[in-house]
Amino acid sequence: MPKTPEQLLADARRGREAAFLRLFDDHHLPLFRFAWRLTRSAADAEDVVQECFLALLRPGCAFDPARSAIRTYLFGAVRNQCLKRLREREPGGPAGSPDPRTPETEALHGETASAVADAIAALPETQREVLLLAHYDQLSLAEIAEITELEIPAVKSRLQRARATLRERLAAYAPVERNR
Amino acid sequence: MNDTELDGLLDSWQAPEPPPSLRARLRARFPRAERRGFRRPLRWLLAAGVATAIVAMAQSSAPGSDSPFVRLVTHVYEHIAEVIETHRVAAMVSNLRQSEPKVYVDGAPAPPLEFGHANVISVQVPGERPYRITFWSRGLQGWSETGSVHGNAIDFLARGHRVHIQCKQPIAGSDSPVYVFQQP
Repeated sequence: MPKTPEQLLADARRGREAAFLRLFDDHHLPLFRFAWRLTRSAADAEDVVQECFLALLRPGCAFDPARSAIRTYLFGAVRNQCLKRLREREPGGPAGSPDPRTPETEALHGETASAVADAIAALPETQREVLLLAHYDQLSLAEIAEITELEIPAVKSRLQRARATLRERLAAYAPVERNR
Repeated sequence: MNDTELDGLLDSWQAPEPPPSLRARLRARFPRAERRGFRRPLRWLLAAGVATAIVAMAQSSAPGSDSPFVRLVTHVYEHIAEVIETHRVAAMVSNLRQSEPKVYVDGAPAPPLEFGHANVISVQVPGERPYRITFWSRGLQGWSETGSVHGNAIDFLARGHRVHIQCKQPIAGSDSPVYVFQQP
């Protein structure tokens, strides 16, 4: 029978590297993407994800399997680390020091993607994180509420406001048939 | 723009893949378990060390004690004693690391321990520079024995502050001293 994430963590804390790497392999991808979308920096996203996994092994780690799932806990830890980094940056929020735009990244993302990224970056912090978790990571309202330490109705209303704002800001990029 | 169209636009913003080096870097920083307890060959080494020490002491009390043989036996004895001490300290730190230690300074909760190199542990005392503690007892300079490990707890004094570390399992088989050093 495959081990649960909590069992893998217990094994990792006993020094079993294979269990730790299995935990990492199972969870790091959405965490990295979430961190990258919040910070818009691959270097920051790498550092944050690495630190959050290592923090699980430290004696003072606050993770309590009785209170939350490890996935939710890790999203919360990544979110807190990213927000801390964003606040330490110069004014300008997430767009303060994003990855530089190169011809490759432009080609990869395209104009629409850049507009979406900029529109999301311009959202208030609390709306931005809710939107990222709901749309890109497909988390439930209850999970988002736990990660962001909000009530479910507050999550719902922030998500609605974020989507309404994006609908306005991205109107120019709507499919052509609808604009005619 | 309806919900489906907005979702389609949002999906155009793709995040990159994490680099493979992320896994390798994490792996490099994984704290591997220290060997716990003494193994059978080590017991034999211990017995051999004691035997050589007895021979060395007997030789040193005899005339012409500064012989190369005595120096060699003394050197071997010192080396064996150091190996034994290394294993003893590593086992204690391993126990401490896995016993969810909680730190209290003068009765108030304090930041968690930080485990450093060479089995040295950092303790944060509010308003003070960090203190380092070790269970290593051989050849320390500048460290003070200000407390002890007893059962599930470690207690020591740091410039008048009482530091108490409570663990969920015993750290050592018997009471042993704690040496403290304040970082300059």
